[in-house]
Amino acid sequence: MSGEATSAVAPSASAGAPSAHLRLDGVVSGYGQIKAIKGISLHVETGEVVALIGANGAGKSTTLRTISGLLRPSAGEISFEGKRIDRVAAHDIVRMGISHAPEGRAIFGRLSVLENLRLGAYQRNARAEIEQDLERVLTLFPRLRERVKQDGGTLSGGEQQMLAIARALMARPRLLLLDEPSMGLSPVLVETIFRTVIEINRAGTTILLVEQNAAMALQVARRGYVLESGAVALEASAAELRASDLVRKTYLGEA
Amino acid sequence: MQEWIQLLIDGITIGGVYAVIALGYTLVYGVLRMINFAHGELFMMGAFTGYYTLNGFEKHSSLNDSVPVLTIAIAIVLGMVVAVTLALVMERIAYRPLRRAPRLAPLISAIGVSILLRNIMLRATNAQGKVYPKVFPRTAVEIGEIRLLYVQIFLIVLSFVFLGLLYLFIQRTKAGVAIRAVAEDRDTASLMGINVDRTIMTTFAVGAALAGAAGVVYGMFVTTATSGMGFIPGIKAFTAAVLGGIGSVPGAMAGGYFLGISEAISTKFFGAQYKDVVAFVLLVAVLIFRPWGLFGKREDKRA
Repeated sequence: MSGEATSAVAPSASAGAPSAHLRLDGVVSGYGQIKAIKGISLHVETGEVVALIGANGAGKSTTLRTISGLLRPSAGEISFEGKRIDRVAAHDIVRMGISHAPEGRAIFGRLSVLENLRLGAYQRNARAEIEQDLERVLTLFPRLRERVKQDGGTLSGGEQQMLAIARALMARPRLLLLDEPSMGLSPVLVETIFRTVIEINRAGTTILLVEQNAAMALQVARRGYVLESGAVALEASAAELRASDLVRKTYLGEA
Repeated sequence: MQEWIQLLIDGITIGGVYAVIALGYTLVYGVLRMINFAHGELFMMGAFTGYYTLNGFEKHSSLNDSVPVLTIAIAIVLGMVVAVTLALVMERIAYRPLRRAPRLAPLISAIGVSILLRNIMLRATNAQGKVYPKVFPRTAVEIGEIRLLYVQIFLIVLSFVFLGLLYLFIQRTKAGVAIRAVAEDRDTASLMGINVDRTIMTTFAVGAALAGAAGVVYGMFVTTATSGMGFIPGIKAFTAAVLGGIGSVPGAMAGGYFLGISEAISTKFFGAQYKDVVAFVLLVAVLIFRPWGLFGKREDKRA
């Protein structure tokens, strides 16, 4: 295992320091014969917020689903904290410290808000700590506290998004994968969500953020990758990306 | 009046059996969207295990007479163990390999398992029904004109107990919440750290345990175990699950009692030989007019 891990870290000179928290090396993945990502290499360092931006169908969600183990890459390597994870089952990846809040607020509509949150901590056993974290996420999202007994399906879109993030935090992840947290939300709610994302990051969680709302994502992130048709088109600091022609024209809607 | 109460009690008796078996259909449907047509055979295997256990005690000891509570409890537990073991084996070899196949494939596989188990028992018993030893007094409690067999009281109470325990399990335990989560969204459940394969096995095991226990108690009630005895109760319980809204736990319970009571009452008007007809007419009617079930809403809560 550790032998594999070292060799997984070694070859990619292009992808930053070898200490990378998360590293993807030439990852190819998708559904059946359709390869939605075609050789993606990227890295996330401990403590960073990294944005993955791109149009619909660029492969952003597929990238996250491959990292969290829902999809198995057909080529390439993924390592997390020095360990290969591209052959690990999704339920074991959570245990290793990666938590994924999937797109479309995939909450359990027929379970109560509280049950949803507790499921986030499913693989943990320390009760006192779980209760502490529950208190912490309910403080982070006071709206959820008022609705703990309600079924997830009765929440508004924004509340469901909060629940999805809060639930992902209940796993106490070291790396949080956020897929389109702003999708379909009002500008005010988007503000709130992103402010919370910053708070979560300051509290010590590394974040890989997928967003179509590039303006917002690049305000929060330190670095970013632009994906186009399943490949990395551009990698730079958030400031550079905001200034780049490609990003300004295509994703920030500027002339 | 007394006649109606008698019909109601008879309905609750058989309805409890339907309800307990129906849970197995509905739970498995919940997580796999598949009807386990071999579920009735788990019930049958439970009944045979009950027979062999109680018969063994009868032949080699006097425990059936001195401590029937103990021998019955052992028979029920063994019936559950056998049914659970079989269910796990069939899930592993007949259903799991077909998880990604078209939905018809596991259905046909289930029918195959059902036929296989039935025929194994047919051969093993040389097509002879096995008659249970008398563990319950065959006399009845009589209140006015209402007659209640001891085994009937036992069956009614035990059904309630099992339904209550199952409900608590599904609602309150971590494994129960995991089953509900997998039923709703398998991918997201695995992102929570839930082992989906293991949860599906748990679901099969829980449904089988209920069917196995029901088989033993039903065997004592009808006093005979036969290789074909799983078919009619199985398909009735399936009807009950559909009546209640397949996938819904409270629906399966309510559907079981509804079907049992409907059948019992129908015997007053059409005679006992038509009660199966009544059950299946109900099934067809529900499938045509309310396919989401009598008690479910269109967007059914698959609790």
